[in-house]
Amino acid sequence: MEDLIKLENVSKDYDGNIVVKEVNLSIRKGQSIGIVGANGSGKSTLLRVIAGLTKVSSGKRLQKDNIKINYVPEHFPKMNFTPAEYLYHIGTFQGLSKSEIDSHVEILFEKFNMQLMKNTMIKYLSKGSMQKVAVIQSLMTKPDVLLLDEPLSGQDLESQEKFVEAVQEFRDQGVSIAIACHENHLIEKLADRAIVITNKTIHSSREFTTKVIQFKCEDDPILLNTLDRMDGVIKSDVLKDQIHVYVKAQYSNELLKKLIDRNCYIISVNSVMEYSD
Amino acid sequence: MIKQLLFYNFRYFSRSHKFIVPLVIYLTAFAVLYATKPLEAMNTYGMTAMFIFIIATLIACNFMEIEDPVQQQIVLLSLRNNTIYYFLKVFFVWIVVSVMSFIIVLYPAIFGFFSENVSVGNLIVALISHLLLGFLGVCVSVLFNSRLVKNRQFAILMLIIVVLISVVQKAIIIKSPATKWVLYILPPVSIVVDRITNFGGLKDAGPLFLAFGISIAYSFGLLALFIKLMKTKVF
Repeated sequence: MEDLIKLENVSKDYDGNIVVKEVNLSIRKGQSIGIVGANGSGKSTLLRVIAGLTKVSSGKRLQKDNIKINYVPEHFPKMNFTPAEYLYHIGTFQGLSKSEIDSHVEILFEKFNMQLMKNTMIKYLSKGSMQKVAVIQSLMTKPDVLLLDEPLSGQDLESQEKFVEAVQEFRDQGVSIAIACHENHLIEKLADRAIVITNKTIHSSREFTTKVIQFKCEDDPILLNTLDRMDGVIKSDVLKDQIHVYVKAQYSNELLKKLIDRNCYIISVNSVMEYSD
Repeated sequence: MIKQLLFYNFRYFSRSHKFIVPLVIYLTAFAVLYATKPLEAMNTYGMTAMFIFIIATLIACNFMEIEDPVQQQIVLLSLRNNTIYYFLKVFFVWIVVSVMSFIIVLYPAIFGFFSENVSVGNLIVALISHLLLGFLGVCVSVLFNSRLVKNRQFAILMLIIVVLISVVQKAIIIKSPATKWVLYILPPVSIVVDRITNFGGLKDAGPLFLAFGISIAYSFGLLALFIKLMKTKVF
Protein backbone atom coordinates (compact mmCIF):
# COMPACT_ATOMS: atom_id res chain seq x y z
CA MET A 1 0.00 0.00 0.00
CA GLU A 2 1.30 3.41 -0.97
CA ASP A 3 2.55 5.75 1.75
CA LEU A 4 1.16 9.23 1.30
CA ILE A 5 2.77 10.69 4.40
CA LYS A 6 5.47 9.10 6.51
CA LEU A 7 6.92 10.13 9.83
CA GLU A 8 10.33 8.68 10.63
CA ASN A 9 11.47 8.98 14.21
CA VAL A 10 9.75 12.34 14.50
CA SER A 11 9.90 14.43 17.64
CA LYS A 12 8.38 17.82 18.25
CA ASP A 13 9.03 20.23 21.05
CA TYR A 14 8.04 23.82 21.78
CA ASP A 15 10.88 25.75 23.46
CA GLY A 16 12.35 22.56 24.84
CA ASN A 17 9.04 21.16 26.03
CA ILE A 18 8.68 17.79 24.26
CA VAL A 19 5.17 17.18 22.96
CA VAL A 20 5.71 14.07 20.85
CA LYS A 21 8.86 11.97 20.63
CA GLU A 22 10.25 9.36 18.24
CA VAL A 23 7.06 8.74 16.35
CA ASN A 24 7.11 6.36 13.40
CA LEU A 25 3.88 6.43 11.46
CA SER A 26 2.67 5.99 7.91
CA ILE A 27 -0.52 7.35 6.40
CA ARG A 28 -1.23 4.88 3.64
CA LYS A 29 -3.52 5.38 0.70
CA GLY A 30 -7.08 4.40 1.57
CA GLN A 31 -6.25 3.66 5.18
CA SER A 32 -7.83 5.32 8.18
CA ILE A 33 -6.28 5.75 11.60
CA GLY A 34 -7.79 6.73 14.90
CA ILE A 35 -5.54 8.61 17.29
CA VAL A 36 -6.50 8.24 20.93
CA GLY A 37 -4.96 9.60 24.07
CA ALA A 38 -5.65 11.71 27.11
CA ASN A 39 -6.06 15.48 26.97
CA GLY A 40 -2.70 17.08 26.36
CA SER A 41 -1.13 13.83 25.15
CA GLY A 42 -0.06 15.34 21.82
CA LYS A 43 -2.87 14.24 19.49
CA SER A 44 -3.39 17.68 17.96
CA THR A 45 0.34 18.25 17.60
CA LEU A 46 0.69 14.88 15.91
CA LEU A 47 -2.05 15.79 13.45
CA ARG A 48 -0.37 19.10 12.68
CA VAL A 49 2.93 17.29 12.15
CA ILE A 50 1.19 14.89 9.78
CA ALA A 51 -0.32 17.85 7.92
CA GLY A 52 3.07 19.55 7.64
CA LEU A 53 1.71 22.54 9.50
CA THR A 54 4.40 22.42 12.11
CA LYS A 55 8.11 21.86 11.71
CA VAL A 56 9.49 18.72 13.28
CA SER A 57 12.23 19.19 15.86
CA SER A 58 13.97 15.98 14.82
CA GLY A 59 13.34 13.08 12.50
CA LYS A 60 11.83 13.27 9.05
CA ARG A 61 8.43 13.96 7.60
CA LEU A 62 8.07 12.65 4.07
CA GLN A 63 5.16 13.37 1.79
CA LYS A 64 4.20 12.17 -1.66
CA ASP A 65 4.17 15.01 -4.18
CA ASN A 66 0.99 16.94 -4.89
CA ILE A 67 -1.30 15.36 -2.36
CA LYS A 68 -4.28 17.29 -1.14
CA ILE A 69 -4.82 17.50 2.59
CA ASN A 70 -8.03 18.75 4.18
CA TYR A 71 -8.01 19.55 7.86
CA VAL A 72 -10.59 20.08 10.59
CA PRO A 73 -8.96 21.90 13.49
CA GLU A 74 -9.95 21.35 17.09
CA HIS A 75 -10.69 25.01 17.75
CA PHE A 76 -12.17 26.76 14.77
CA PRO A 77 -11.52 30.50 15.09
CA LYS A 78 -14.17 33.18 15.41
CA MET A 79 -14.17 35.32 12.29
CA ASN A 80 -15.92 38.27 10.73
CA PHE A 81 -17.29 36.15 7.91
CA THR A 82 -20.61 34.43 7.53
CA PRO A 83 -20.42 30.68 6.82
CA ALA A 84 -21.57 31.37 3.26
CA GLU A 85 -18.81 33.93 2.68
CA TYR A 86 -16.19 31.83 4.40
CA LEU A 87 -16.99 28.69 2.44
CA TYR A 88 -17.02 30.70 -0.78
CA HIS A 89 -13.44 31.80 -0.08
CA ILE A 90 -12.24 28.35 0.96
CA GLY A 91 -13.97 26.85 -2.07
CA THR A 92 -12.14 29.23 -4.41
CA PHE A 93 -8.84 28.42 -2.70
CA GLN A 94 -9.57 24.72 -3.25
CA GLY A 95 -10.05 25.39 -6.95
CA LEU A 96 -13.83 25.27 -7.20
CA SER A 97 -15.82 27.52 -9.51
CA LYS A 98 -18.60 29.69 -8.12
CA SER A 99 -21.34 27.37 -9.37
CA GLU A 100 -19.58 24.34 -7.87
CA ILE A 101 -19.23 26.13 -4.56
CA ASP A 102 -22.89 27.13 -4.59
CA SER A 103 -24.07 23.59 -5.18
CA HIS A 104 -21.63 21.90 -2.76
CA VAL A 105 -22.34 24.41 -0.03
CA GLU A 106 -26.11 24.16 -0.44
CA ILE A 107 -25.99 20.39 -0.07
CA LEU A 108 -23.68 20.53 2.93
CA PHE A 109 -25.64 23.31 4.66
CA GLU A 110 -28.77 21.21 4.34
CA LYS A 111 -27.03 18.06 5.48
CA PHE A 112 -25.71 19.74 8.62
CA ASN A 113 -28.77 21.87 9.28
CA MET A 114 -26.98 25.17 8.76
CA GLN A 115 -29.35 26.89 6.33
CA LEU A 116 -30.65 29.33 8.93
CA MET A 117 -27.16 30.24 10.08
CA LYS A 118 -25.39 30.60 6.77
CA ASN A 119 -25.65 34.40 6.83
CA THR A 120 -24.77 34.89 10.50
CA MET A 121 -21.26 35.99 11.34
CA ILE A 122 -19.19 33.01 12.46
CA LYS A 123 -18.07 34.88 15.57
CA TYR A 124 -21.69 34.90 16.76
CA LEU A 125 -22.30 31.19 16.21
CA SER A 126 -22.31 28.57 18.96
CA LYS A 127 -19.28 26.31 19.41
CA GLY A 128 -21.06 23.42 17.76
CA SER A 129 -22.15 25.50 14.77
CA MET A 130 -18.65 26.86 14.33
CA GLN A 131 -17.33 23.33 14.36
CA LYS A 132 -19.88 22.43 11.68
CA VAL A 133 -18.41 25.16 9.49
CA ALA A 134 -14.97 23.66 10.16
CA VAL A 135 -16.24 20.25 9.10
CA ILE A 136 -18.06 21.55 6.03
CA GLN A 137 -14.98 23.32 4.69
CA SER A 138 -13.09 20.03 4.84
CA LEU A 139 -15.82 18.19 2.93
CA MET A 140 -16.13 20.60 0.02
CA THR A 141 -13.59 18.80 -2.11
CA LYS A 142 -12.30 15.25 -2.02
CA PRO A 143 -8.78 15.22 -0.57
CA ASP A 144 -6.12 12.53 -0.57
CA VAL A 145 -5.80 12.82 3.21
CA LEU A 146 -8.44 14.05 5.63
CA LEU A 147 -7.22 15.05 9.09
CA LEU A 148 -9.82 15.52 11.80
CA ASP A 149 -9.10 16.92 15.25
CA GLU A 150 -12.02 16.42 17.63
CA PRO A 151 -14.48 16.98 14.77
CA LEU A 152 -17.60 16.26 16.81
CA SER A 153 -16.87 18.78 19.52
CA GLY A 154 -20.12 20.51 20.52
CA GLN A 155 -22.22 18.96 17.75
CA ASP A 156 -25.74 17.58 18.10
CA LEU A 157 -26.45 13.87 17.53
CA GLU A 158 -27.96 14.35 14.12
CA SER A 159 -24.95 16.29 12.87
CA GLN A 160 -22.64 13.66 14.32
CA GLU A 161 -24.41 10.99 12.30
CA LYS A 162 -24.31 13.12 9.15
CA PHE A 163 -20.64 13.73 9.74
CA VAL A 164 -19.91 10.01 10.11
CA GLU A 165 -21.83 9.31 6.88
CA ALA A 166 -19.90 11.95 4.99
CA VAL A 167 -16.54 10.73 6.23
CA GLN A 168 -17.47 7.11 5.52
CA GLU A 169 -18.28 8.16 1.95
CA PHE A 170 -14.82 9.65 1.61
CA ARG A 171 -13.35 6.53 3.12
CA ASP A 172 -15.19 4.38 0.58
CA GLN A 173 -13.71 6.58 -2.15
CA GLY A 174 -10.19 5.77 -0.96
CA VAL A 175 -9.46 8.90 1.04
CA SER A 176 -6.94 8.33 3.83
CA ILE A 177 -8.20 9.51 7.16
CA ALA A 178 -6.58 10.33 10.47
CA ILE A 179 -8.95 11.24 13.27
CA ALA A 180 -8.08 12.33 16.78
CA CYS A 181 -10.91 12.15 19.27
CA HIS A 182 -12.12 10.71 22.55
CA GLU A 183 -15.21 9.03 21.16
CA ASN A 184 -14.46 5.33 20.80
CA HIS A 185 -17.58 4.69 18.76
CA LEU A 186 -16.34 7.18 16.18
CA ILE A 187 -12.95 5.50 15.98
CA GLU A 188 -14.64 2.14 15.60
CA LYS A 189 -16.86 3.40 12.77
CA LEU A 190 -14.24 5.32 10.85
CA ALA A 191 -10.83 3.80 11.55
CA ASP A 192 -9.14 0.60 10.43
CA ARG A 193 -6.75 0.86 13.32
CA ALA A 194 -6.13 3.00 16.34
CA ILE A 195 -2.89 4.33 17.75
CA VAL A 196 -2.61 5.29 21.37
CA ILE A 197 -0.45 8.18 22.49
CA THR A 198 0.86 7.92 26.02
CA ASN A 199 4.02 9.45 27.48
CA LYS A 200 4.39 11.57 24.33
CA THR A 201 4.81 8.63 21.98
CA ILE A 202 2.82 5.97 20.20
CA HIS A 203 2.67 2.97 22.46
CA SER A 204 0.54 0.53 20.63
CA SER A 205 -1.31 0.09 17.45
CA ARG A 206 -4.64 -1.63 17.65
CA GLU A 207 -6.41 -3.19 14.74
CA PHE A 208 -10.11 -3.75 14.65
CA THR A 209 -9.79 -7.46 13.94
CA THR A 210 -12.89 -8.72 15.71
CA LYS A 211 -16.58 -7.90 15.53
CA VAL A 212 -19.15 -8.73 18.19
CA ILE A 213 -22.59 -9.45 16.77
CA GLN A 214 -25.46 -9.42 19.23
CA PHE A 215 -28.61 -11.09 17.96
CA LYS A 216 -31.77 -12.98 18.85
CA CYS A 217 -33.07 -16.01 17.11
CA GLU A 218 -36.32 -17.93 17.45
CA ASP A 219 -35.72 -21.50 18.48
CA ASP A 220 -33.03 -22.63 16.01
CA PRO A 221 -30.93 -25.43 17.54
CA ILE A 222 -29.13 -26.13 14.27
CA LEU A 223 -27.84 -22.56 14.17
CA LEU A 224 -26.75 -22.64 17.79
CA ASN A 225 -24.93 -25.94 17.27
CA THR A 226 -23.14 -24.90 14.11
CA LEU A 227 -22.41 -21.27 15.06
CA ASP A 228 -18.99 -21.94 16.58
CA ARG A 229 -17.93 -23.89 13.50
CA MET A 230 -18.82 -21.15 11.01
CA ASP A 231 -16.06 -19.40 9.11
CA GLY A 232 -14.26 -16.76 11.21
CA VAL A 233 -16.21 -17.34 14.44
CA ILE A 234 -13.96 -17.15 17.49
CA LYS A 235 -16.53 -17.89 20.18
CA SER A 236 -20.18 -17.37 21.09
CA ASP A 237 -21.95 -16.64 24.37
CA VAL A 238 -25.60 -17.09 25.19
CA LEU A 239 -26.95 -14.49 27.58
CA LYS A 240 -30.61 -14.95 28.46
CA ASP A 241 -32.33 -14.79 25.07
CA GLN A 242 -29.49 -13.03 23.27
CA ILE A 243 -26.44 -14.44 21.59
CA HIS A 244 -23.09 -12.69 21.37
CA VAL A 245 -20.84 -14.07 18.71
CA TYR A 246 -17.21 -12.95 18.28
CA VAL A 247 -16.14 -13.19 14.66
CA LYS A 248 -13.06 -12.09 12.72
CA ALA A 249 -13.79 -8.78 11.01
CA GLN A 250 -13.31 -10.04 7.46
CA TYR A 251 -15.99 -12.74 8.03
CA SER A 252 -18.53 -10.54 9.77
CA ASN A 253 -20.53 -9.61 6.67
CA GLU A 254 -20.87 -13.23 5.64
CA LEU A 255 -22.08 -14.23 9.09
CA LEU A 256 -24.55 -11.35 9.24
CA LYS A 257 -26.03 -12.47 5.94
CA LYS A 258 -26.46 -16.03 7.23
CA LEU A 259 -28.13 -14.81 10.41
CA ILE A 260 -30.50 -12.55 8.48
CA ASP A 261 -31.34 -15.41 6.07
CA ARG A 262 -32.28 -17.51 9.12
CA ASN A 263 -34.65 -14.74 10.30
CA CYS A 264 -32.52 -13.74 13.23
CA TYR A 265 -32.99 -10.29 14.74
CA ILE A 266 -29.71 -8.34 14.77
CA ILE A 267 -29.46 -6.14 17.86
CA SER A 268 -25.97 -4.65 17.40
CA VAL A 269 -22.62 -4.99 15.68
CA ASN A 270 -19.54 -3.60 17.41
CA SER A 271 -15.80 -3.70 16.83
CA VAL A 272 -13.37 -4.95 19.37
CA MET A 273 -9.79 -3.77 19.37
CA GLU A 274 -7.13 -6.43 19.55
CA TYR A 275 -3.52 -5.48 20.10
CA SER A 276 -1.26 -5.83 17.13
CA ASP A 277 2.22 -4.28 17.31
CA MET B 1 -6.69 32.48 -7.25
CA ILE B 2 -4.85 35.80 -6.95
CA LYS B 3 -8.05 37.79 -7.26
CA GLN B 4 -9.80 35.55 -4.74
CA LEU B 5 -6.95 35.83 -2.23
CA LEU B 6 -6.87 39.61 -2.55
CA PHE B 7 -10.64 39.75 -2.05
CA TYR B 8 -10.33 37.50 0.99
CA ASN B 9 -7.58 39.71 2.44
CA PHE B 10 -9.65 42.80 1.75
CA ARG B 11 -12.67 41.36 3.51
CA TYR B 12 -10.59 40.19 6.46
CA PHE B 13 -8.85 43.55 6.87
CA SER B 14 -11.84 45.79 6.27
CA ARG B 15 -13.91 43.89 8.83
CA SER B 16 -11.25 44.09 11.49
CA HIS B 17 -10.69 47.25 13.50
CA LYS B 18 -6.99 47.19 12.70
CA PHE B 19 -7.20 49.57 9.78
CA ILE B 20 -8.72 52.38 11.84
CA VAL B 21 -5.63 53.63 13.69
CA PRO B 22 -3.41 53.83 10.57
CA LEU B 23 -6.23 55.53 8.69
CA VAL B 24 -6.73 58.11 11.43
CA ILE B 25 -2.98 58.79 11.57
CA TYR B 26 -2.88 59.11 7.79
CA LEU B 27 -5.79 61.54 7.65
CA THR B 28 -4.49 63.58 10.58
CA ALA B 29 -1.02 63.88 9.10
CA PHE B 30 -2.55 64.76 5.75
CA ALA B 31 -4.64 67.50 7.33
CA VAL B 32 -1.74 68.88 9.38
CA LEU B 33 0.71 68.81 6.49
CA TYR B 34 -1.58 70.63 4.12
CA ALA B 35 -3.10 72.96 6.69
CA THR B 36 -0.92 75.77 5.39
CA LYS B 37 0.01 76.63 1.87
CA PRO B 38 1.83 77.32 -0.32
CA LEU B 39 4.44 74.61 0.13
CA GLU B 40 7.55 73.71 -1.80
CA ALA B 41 6.64 70.70 -3.92
CA MET B 42 9.60 68.32 -3.89
CA ASN B 43 10.46 69.11 -0.27
CA THR B 44 6.90 68.28 0.71
CA TYR B 45 6.92 65.12 -1.38
CA GLY B 46 10.11 64.06 0.39
CA MET B 47 8.32 64.38 3.70
CA THR B 48 5.19 62.58 2.55
CA ALA B 49 7.22 59.76 1.02
CA MET B 50 8.90 59.27 4.37
CA PHE B 51 5.50 59.37 6.02
CA ILE B 52 4.17 56.74 3.59
CA PHE B 53 7.10 54.50 4.54
CA ILE B 54 6.16 54.83 8.20
CA ILE B 55 2.44 54.35 7.65
CA ALA B 56 3.14 51.32 5.45
CA THR B 57 5.07 49.66 8.27
CA LEU B 58 2.18 50.33 10.64
CA ILE B 59 -0.49 48.97 8.29
CA ALA B 60 1.59 45.88 7.48
CA CYS B 61 2.29 45.30 11.18
CA ASN B 62 -1.44 45.38 11.95
CA PHE B 63 -2.47 43.37 8.92
CA MET B 64 -0.09 40.52 9.63
CA GLU B 65 -1.73 39.90 13.02
CA ILE B 66 -5.40 39.81 12.05
CA GLU B 67 -5.65 36.33 10.58
CA ASP B 68 -5.98 33.63 13.22
CA PRO B 69 -3.13 31.04 13.01
CA VAL B 70 -5.63 28.17 12.70
CA GLN B 71 -7.31 29.95 9.83
CA GLN B 72 -3.91 30.49 8.21
CA GLN B 73 -3.34 26.74 8.42
CA ILE B 74 -6.67 25.99 6.72
CA VAL B 75 -5.97 28.50 3.94
CA LEU B 76 -2.43 27.22 3.36
CA LEU B 77 -3.64 23.63 3.05
CA SER B 78 -6.45 24.70 0.71
CA LEU B 79 -4.19 26.78 -1.53
CA ARG B 80 -1.27 24.33 -1.62
CA ASN B 81 0.90 27.29 -2.60
CA ASN B 82 2.65 28.94 0.32
CA THR B 83 4.63 31.33 -1.87
CA ILE B 84 1.54 32.89 -3.42
CA TYR B 85 -0.15 33.16 -0.04
CA TYR B 86 2.70 35.07 1.59
CA PHE B 87 3.44 37.16 -1.49
CA LEU B 88 -0.16 38.28 -1.75
CA LYS B 89 -0.22 39.33 1.90
CA VAL B 90 2.56 41.79 1.09
CA PHE B 91 0.99 42.76 -2.23
CA PHE B 92 -2.39 43.44 -0.66
CA VAL B 93 -0.96 45.82 1.93
CA TRP B 94 1.03 47.52 -0.82
CA ILE B 95 -2.18 48.08 -2.80
CA VAL B 96 -3.73 49.78 0.25
CA VAL B 97 -0.62 51.90 0.76
CA SER B 98 -0.52 52.71 -2.97
CA VAL B 99 -4.02 54.15 -2.86
CA MET B 100 -2.91 56.35 0.03
CA SER B 101 0.17 57.31 -1.97
CA PHE B 102 -1.83 58.37 -5.01
CA ILE B 103 -4.05 60.56 -2.88
CA ILE B 104 -1.22 62.17 -0.95
CA VAL B 105 0.71 62.93 -4.18
CA LEU B 106 -2.12 64.02 -6.46
CA TYR B 107 -4.34 65.93 -4.04
CA PRO B 108 -1.97 68.83 -3.32
CA ALA B 109 -0.92 69.08 -6.98
CA ILE B 110 -4.53 69.22 -8.22
CA PHE B 111 -5.77 71.63 -5.56
CA GLY B 112 -2.83 74.03 -5.77
CA PHE B 113 -1.12 73.55 -2.45
CA PHE B 114 2.33 74.20 -3.90
CA SER B 115 4.11 77.46 -4.53
CA GLU B 116 4.71 76.47 -8.14
CA ASN B 117 3.06 74.20 -10.71
CA VAL B 118 4.32 70.70 -10.44
CA SER B 119 5.60 69.36 -13.73
CA VAL B 120 4.47 65.96 -14.97
CA GLY B 121 8.02 64.69 -14.56
CA ASN B 122 8.16 65.77 -10.93
CA LEU B 123 4.74 64.25 -10.32
CA ILE B 124 5.86 60.91 -11.75
CA VAL B 125 9.05 60.98 -9.66
CA ALA B 126 7.01 61.75 -6.56
CA LEU B 127 4.52 58.98 -7.27
CA ILE B 128 7.17 56.36 -7.95
CA SER B 129 9.08 57.29 -4.82
CA HIS B 130 5.95 57.00 -2.69
CA LEU B 131 5.07 53.63 -4.20
CA LEU B 132 8.60 52.34 -3.70
CA LEU B 133 8.92 53.55 -0.13
CA GLY B 134 5.46 52.16 0.60
CA PHE B 135 6.59 48.79 -0.71
CA LEU B 136 9.81 49.04 1.28
CA GLY B 137 7.87 49.80 4.45
CA VAL B 138 5.64 46.77 3.97
CA CYS B 139 8.61 44.47 3.28
CA VAL B 140 10.41 45.69 6.40
CA SER B 141 7.40 45.34 8.66
CA VAL B 142 6.28 41.85 7.66
CA LEU B 143 9.56 40.42 8.93
CA PHE B 144 8.53 41.34 12.46
CA ASN B 145 5.26 39.35 12.48
CA SER B 146 4.39 37.14 15.44
CA ARG B 147 5.29 33.87 13.75
CA LEU B 148 8.85 35.04 13.18
CA VAL B 149 9.29 37.11 16.32
CA LYS B 150 7.27 35.58 19.13
CA ASN B 151 7.90 38.34 21.68
CA ARG B 152 5.55 41.08 20.44
CA GLN B 153 7.00 43.86 22.57
CA PHE B 154 10.48 43.08 21.32
CA ALA B 155 9.23 42.90 17.72
CA ILE B 156 7.48 46.27 17.89
CA LEU B 157 10.43 47.88 19.64
CA MET B 158 12.87 46.58 17.03
CA LEU B 159 10.57 47.67 14.20
CA ILE B 160 10.30 51.18 15.62
CA ILE B 161 14.09 51.38 16.00
CA VAL B 162 14.66 50.18 12.42
CA VAL B 163 12.07 52.61 11.04
CA LEU B 164 13.36 55.60 13.00
CA ILE B 165 17.01 55.02 12.21
CA SER B 166 16.18 54.41 8.53
CA VAL B 167 14.38 57.72 8.39
CA VAL B 168 17.15 59.75 10.09
CA GLN B 169 19.97 57.67 8.63
CA LYS B 170 21.48 60.49 6.61
CA ALA B 171 21.55 62.89 9.54
CA ILE B 172 23.32 60.31 11.75
CA ILE B 173 25.92 59.60 9.06
CA ILE B 174 26.64 63.31 8.61
CA LYS B 175 27.15 63.71 12.35
CA SER B 176 29.11 60.49 12.72
CA PRO B 177 30.60 59.25 9.40
CA ALA B 178 32.00 56.09 10.99
CA THR B 179 28.48 54.74 11.42
CA LYS B 180 27.77 54.66 7.69
CA TRP B 181 28.99 51.07 7.18
CA VAL B 182 26.54 49.86 9.80
CA LEU B 183 23.67 52.13 8.86
CA TYR B 184 23.83 51.30 5.17
CA ILE B 185 22.44 47.86 5.95
CA LEU B 186 19.21 49.50 7.06
CA PRO B 187 16.36 50.26 4.62
CA PRO B 188 17.47 52.97 2.14
CA VAL B 189 14.73 55.47 3.05
CA SER B 190 17.05 58.42 3.55
CA ILE B 191 18.71 57.97 0.17
CA VAL B 192 15.39 57.98 -1.70
CA VAL B 193 14.00 60.92 0.29
CA ASP B 194 17.21 62.86 -0.26
CA ARG B 195 17.06 62.28 -4.05
CA ILE B 196 13.42 63.38 -4.32
CA THR B 197 13.93 66.47 -2.20
CA ASN B 198 16.92 67.51 -4.31
CA PHE B 199 15.43 66.50 -7.64
CA GLY B 200 15.93 69.34 -10.04
CA GLY B 201 15.19 67.70 -13.36
CA LEU B 202 16.81 65.31 -15.81
CA LYS B 203 20.33 66.12 -14.61
CA ASP B 204 19.48 64.43 -11.33
CA ALA B 205 17.93 61.39 -13.02
CA GLY B 206 21.01 59.18 -12.60
CA PRO B 207 21.29 59.43 -8.82
CA LEU B 208 17.50 59.22 -8.55
CA PHE B 209 17.27 55.97 -10.52
CA LEU B 210 20.17 54.57 -8.53
CA ALA B 211 18.29 55.31 -5.31
CA PHE B 212 15.16 53.72 -6.79
CA GLY B 213 17.14 50.68 -7.87
CA ILE B 214 18.64 50.24 -4.41
CA SER B 215 15.21 50.55 -2.85
CA ILE B 216 13.68 47.99 -5.23
CA ALA B 217 16.53 45.52 -4.73
CA TYR B 218 16.43 45.92 -0.96
CA SER B 219 12.64 45.46 -0.88
CA PHE B 220 12.66 42.35 -3.01
CA GLY B 221 15.50 40.96 -0.94
CA LEU B 222 13.42 41.43 2.19
CA LEU B 223 10.38 39.95 0.46
CA ALA B 224 12.32 36.84 -0.57
CA LEU B 225 13.65 36.50 2.97
CA PHE B 226 10.14 36.88 4.41
CA ILE B 227 8.67 34.19 2.16
CA LYS B 228 11.53 31.81 2.85
CA LEU B 229 11.35 32.28 6.61
CA MET B 230 7.57 31.87 6.72
CA LYS B 231 7.75 28.65 4.71
CA THR B 232 10.48 27.29 6.97
CA LYS B 233 9.14 28.44 10.30
CA VAL B 234 5.58 27.14 9.71
CA PHE B 235 3.51 27.03 12.96
